[in-house]
Amino acid sequence: MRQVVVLLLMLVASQIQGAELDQELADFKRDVLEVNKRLLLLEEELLFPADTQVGIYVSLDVGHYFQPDSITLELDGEVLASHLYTEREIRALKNGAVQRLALANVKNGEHEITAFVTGMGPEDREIRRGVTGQFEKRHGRHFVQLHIEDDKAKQQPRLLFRDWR
Amino acid sequence: MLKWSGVVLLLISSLAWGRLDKPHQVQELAYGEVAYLYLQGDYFAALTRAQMALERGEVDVHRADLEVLLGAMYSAYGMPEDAERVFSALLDQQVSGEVAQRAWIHLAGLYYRQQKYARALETLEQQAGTQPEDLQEVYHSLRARVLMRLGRYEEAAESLDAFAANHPLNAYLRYNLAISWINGKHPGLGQEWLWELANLPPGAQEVNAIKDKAMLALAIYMLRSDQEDRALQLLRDARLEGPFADVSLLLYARALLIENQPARALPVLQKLDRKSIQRSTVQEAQLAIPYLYEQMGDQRSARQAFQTALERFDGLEEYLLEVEARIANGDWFTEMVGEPRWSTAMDPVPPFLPKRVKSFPTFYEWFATREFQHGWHNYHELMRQRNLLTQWQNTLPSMQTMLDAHERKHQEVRPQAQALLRELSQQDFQGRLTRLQGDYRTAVSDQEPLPFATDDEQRLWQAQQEAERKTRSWGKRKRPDMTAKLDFYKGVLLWEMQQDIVPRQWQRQQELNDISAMLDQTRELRSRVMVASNRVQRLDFFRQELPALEQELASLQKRGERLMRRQQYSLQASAFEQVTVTRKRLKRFSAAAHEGLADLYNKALRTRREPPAGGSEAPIE
Repeated sequence: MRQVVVLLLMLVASQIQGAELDQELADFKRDVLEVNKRLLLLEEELLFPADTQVGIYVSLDVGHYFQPDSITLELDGEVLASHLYTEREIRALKNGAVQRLALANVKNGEHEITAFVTGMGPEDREIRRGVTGQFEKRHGRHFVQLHIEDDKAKQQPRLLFRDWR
Repeated sequence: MLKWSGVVLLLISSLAWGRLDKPHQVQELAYGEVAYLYLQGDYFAALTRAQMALERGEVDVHRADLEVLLGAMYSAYGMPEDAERVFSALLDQQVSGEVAQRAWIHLAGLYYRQQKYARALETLEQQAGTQPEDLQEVYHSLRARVLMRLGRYEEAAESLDAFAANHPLNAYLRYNLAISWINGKHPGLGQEWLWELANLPPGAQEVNAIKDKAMLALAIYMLRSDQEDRALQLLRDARLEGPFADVSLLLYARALLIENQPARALPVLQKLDRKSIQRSTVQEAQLAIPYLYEQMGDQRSARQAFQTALERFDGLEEYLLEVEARIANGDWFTEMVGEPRWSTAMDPVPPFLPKRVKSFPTFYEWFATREFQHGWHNYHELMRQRNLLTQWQNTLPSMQTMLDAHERKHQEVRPQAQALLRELSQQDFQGRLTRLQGDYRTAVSDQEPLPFATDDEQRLWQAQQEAERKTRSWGKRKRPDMTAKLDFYKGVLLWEMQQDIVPRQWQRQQELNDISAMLDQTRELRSRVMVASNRVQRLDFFRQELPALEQELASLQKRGERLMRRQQYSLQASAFEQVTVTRKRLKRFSAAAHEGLADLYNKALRTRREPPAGGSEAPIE
């Protein structure tokens, strides 16, 4: 008897659902997104205050001569981040998107940053590259971009660090 | 079908992001970062990042582009009202033509998803204008689908012609168009297109599925239009794997029966019969087999097959009653859902498949419907959201600890910082520098050498001035040659001081510039110390924000739980309907089997009453 009642209730529920449930779901998603945003902002501010925050980003320009497989990042001689790329991530990078590789806290002043990148070059040749750069951390959030671009003359990738203002 | 919907969705989504193999054009990190998440289909994370970027004012150059992305993501993430609000606000502003075009096409896509086809077409035709090359494909695919929904097939075909011939979406759209033609005004053209699709080279799962579907559609059309031999030819080549294998087998057997080849049809149906009786095609085969034996004149096997069919139908009926009870008490759903895992709470929902539980074949056709997939995805999306909320709830205590640490540090450093600031303001460094700069400008304009003199020169100048003062007090006693001597020495000193006055002034200017630069640095440090010492307001805000967030998380958890339960009930109710439909069909089939069996007995009885030429009666087995 209980099962019949439950089934009847379910049938009634399914009839009044549909659009109404979709609407409530959209409202719920909106509220979760809002809370998630507030929490992430709070977390970032507590973990990486603007005065010490440095963000390292990766971008890939065109990518005819290089497709990254992995990347290791060192900041002042310490490994800060390692990443293995998936096909979707590479596709996103090739389409001009920018990957946030790491966020860190550093003191004001000069810092050295090094990246080791492996990947596939023309004719499926494995390519390993290292690049070192310096940046001066000053007041406020600081962003450093590791840019990988095609060197048409050498048919090789060229890696460079630059401040992203 | 769902995969095709995915392809369409992906294509529509990709139009918000135009670059492919072009030099890097992203000028603002936040925009690039949102795109990175968006292009991986990670809408939740991308939406959150986009909202953060807008709140923190991280985009300026790409603001309109980001809003297009935001709208596209809202639309794809099942938040149509938010998407419409974003696009409407965007289109009310002065945005570039390309941004507006993207926004209009997205808006049309949104209307399409909301099944507002006329409005979608109107938006595309009146607002989207002439598209740049990278938007052409998306525009035409959307337009073709809208036109098909409106039943304007010829125009849809024209829109399709704008595609590359080998695009998977083209095949999908052509299949739909061919079906509408074959059942409507242009059966010849429909056939032609289905042949083309059936003869596509084998490839990805999607292509193979379209090939199978086209072949089946052709076979059905041929069976209906009395071209059984051609239907047989087609079905003989049908694949025995894939989602349409059962239907192909059943159709093949039917075509063989129509062609009066029961002996060939029997093994086909027996092959099908070995599968689970929960499948509708197997139930149909089960019923067809005894008729087939009967047609072949094997009454005994026919009777046996009818009895087997009835036993299997009864067994299934009992099982379905059990499934109904399990649906009602929730066990069926729990068993099917399993335990999903995510690497992080922000990851997109992976493509969950219902677990291959015992009842899977009863529902597998329903599992492939949009209705089921929509509800199933929503259920898992809710599960993911609740997982995220739980993770945040677990993180809050550590955030509280971090906040306490920030406050402690702040309380320690704040008095020192304030003392330093007080000391700095008492020193009046800027006022002193300003006075020095004024003195310098006066000395330069008056060509006064003394301010630029060395220490020795200053001493000599003082001595000379003292001597002059003393000699003046001597009056008439002063010797004339002494005055001349002092004037001479004064002239020599002034000459020495003025002969390199320009380098001396330049050096002083440099010193003043250095001091000014140092003061700038001090000012920057001072402003940072001030900001840090006034961070108390921000920390106060955090102090209030954390408990508020804790409450909101708890409330959202409850809402999420309720919504999940409702979504589950909705799916269970649909599953119950599926079982009901199956049971009704079983009743029909059982009745038909009973009837068939009765006919057989009837025939046998009649045969027994009519004395055969040989004399003895046929036994009933």
